[in-house]
Amino acid sequence: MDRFRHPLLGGNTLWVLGLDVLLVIIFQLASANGAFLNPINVQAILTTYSQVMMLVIAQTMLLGAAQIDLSQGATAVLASVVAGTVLVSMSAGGDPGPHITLPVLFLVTIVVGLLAGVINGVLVGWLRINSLVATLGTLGIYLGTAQVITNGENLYGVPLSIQSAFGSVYLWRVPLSTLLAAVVVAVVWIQFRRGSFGTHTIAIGSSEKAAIRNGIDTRWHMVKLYSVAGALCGIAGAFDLARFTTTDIGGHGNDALAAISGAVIGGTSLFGGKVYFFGALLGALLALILQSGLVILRFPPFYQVIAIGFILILAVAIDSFRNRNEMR
Amino acid sequence: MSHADPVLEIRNVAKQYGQITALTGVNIQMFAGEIVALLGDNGAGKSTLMNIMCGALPPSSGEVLVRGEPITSLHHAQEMGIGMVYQDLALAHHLTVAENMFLGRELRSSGLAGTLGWLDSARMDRKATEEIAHLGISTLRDVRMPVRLLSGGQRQVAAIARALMWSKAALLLDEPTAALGPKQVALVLETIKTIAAKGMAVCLIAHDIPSVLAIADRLIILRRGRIVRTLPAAGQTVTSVVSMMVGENDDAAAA
Ligand SMILES: Nc1ncnc2c1ncn2[C@@H]1O[C@H](COP(=O)(O)OP(=O)(O)O)[C@@H](O)[C@H]1O
Ligand SMILES: [Mg+2]
Repeated sequence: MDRFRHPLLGGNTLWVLGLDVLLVIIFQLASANGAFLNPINVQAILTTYSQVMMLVIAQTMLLGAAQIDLSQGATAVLASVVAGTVLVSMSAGGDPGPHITLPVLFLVTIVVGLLAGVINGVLVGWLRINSLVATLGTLGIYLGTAQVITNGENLYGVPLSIQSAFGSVYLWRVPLSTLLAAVVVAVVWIQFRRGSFGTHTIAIGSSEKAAIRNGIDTRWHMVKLYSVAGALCGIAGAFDLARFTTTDIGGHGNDALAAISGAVIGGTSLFGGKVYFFGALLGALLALILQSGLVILRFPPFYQVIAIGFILILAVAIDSFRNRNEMR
Repeated sequence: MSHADPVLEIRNVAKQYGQITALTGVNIQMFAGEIVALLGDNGAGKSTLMNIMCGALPPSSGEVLVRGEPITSLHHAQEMGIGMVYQDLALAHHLTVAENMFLGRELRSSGLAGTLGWLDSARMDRKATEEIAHLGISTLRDVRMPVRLLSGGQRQVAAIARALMWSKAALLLDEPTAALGPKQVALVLETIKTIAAKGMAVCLIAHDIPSVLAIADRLIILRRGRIVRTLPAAGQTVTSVVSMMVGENDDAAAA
């Protein structure tokens, strides 16, 4: 194993962690009565974060293979719309209860996400369409399909048991969805580091030709990679539906770009081969901290977007400066 | 199978890249224990031919056989024991030396971890270290270095060690010593001779004609995609070989 690629602290992980902590301290001190670290506010951040975690680890893996997925938000929306439709039709005679609605919710969202990922993987791996173009196309297709299904409206009448038994449940005051997301992250991270899946992904991101010449079936690997990524987006869709018991078709337009920004801020390279899960998770958290903090300090929330823009450019500048030093 | 059957055989291979004809009517038989050198000017088609021999590039027509069996893919050729050092080395720069040497053929852990698909990186690191030590080259000690931090020569050593580790029937080397210092070149040539003596068929492309003449048994001269001469290496000189490569003698004979 590469001793130069620290499993936990590589990339920008340390300084992004420092920035996260610093911002939390600043917002806490600046907010009236310490409102920033109020449990309700922290829980709200963590609940949003559970979705962000799914998208950012998916995007990080893809970036490892020099791939990008712009259709993440659309995939999550489509998954939640299909699952919501199924759940609505199942509960015509009343809410069938969480022992039925929750398995259906996760099964349907994961399957829809997986299928969306398979389509992305086939377009990129087999038809060799550039991932930026392919997923820009499927972004429109998945979002449009979601709108066709619901006639452009958001879905209502989803059984409330998905919220009462999951979406608004806390364990040790932590949202259940956040805990579940953490477990998913741990599993994905361990498999990526310990199995051949991660090695092959990084090989493809370093040089697709070299990967092929070492006998790796890169077409099949792309399909696997995008389907895992799609399934993770599906899980994000499930979290979204369970939180609000309604879909949010228009609210996920920035999800993919936010995930890419988070990954890149954490030190993951857009050009493939460099994968830092924890840097990416902390980078994505930065946006949520900023957003919440600025709202609490009564700044208009769009300042967050500007701040993230600056941090993103700074992160990439630091990375390219490091690369230049490394070239020797 | 008799002793004289070829290990690797190229039958009537041609290769077109769009309009460009890179190879036409190439037939070669390589036997166990033999070192064959492919010689030719830049663009003669040497790399194209070698990429076809190892299954990385499908020929436009013709076939490649390993011990009489036609190869269907790169993977198939690898399983038949064809090892290859590519001219561009085909290394993944963000992986370590050991990860590169086992890329696509990783060793799994035993027990539960293996069932989960986990890899035994400690064992791979150890085996990679042994393989490189076996080569006798001391410039590459730490197999846990990512390839992007290695020098050109160290990268070449990694690619050679990988090919050696996996080749059982034939070893193909496309300019394997271009970035090496004289001492490492001598070690690599020595290893090639040892490998051939153990019964492997070796095919070598190299620009350094004196060292080619020192180790090769047979020379195959390519010019503009065709084999123009096949001859024993013994008795040849740098001058005679170069004139065959550029075609002075033929042109003189034809005139
Ligand atoms: N991928 C390719 N696409 C198009 N033409 C190629 C490609 N690879 C090689 N060629 C052409 O095929 C011919 C033989 O190239 P190559 O096999 O690399 O020669 P050598 O290794 O002997 O220098 C050259 O004319 C080269 O330009
Ligand atoms: Mg060449």
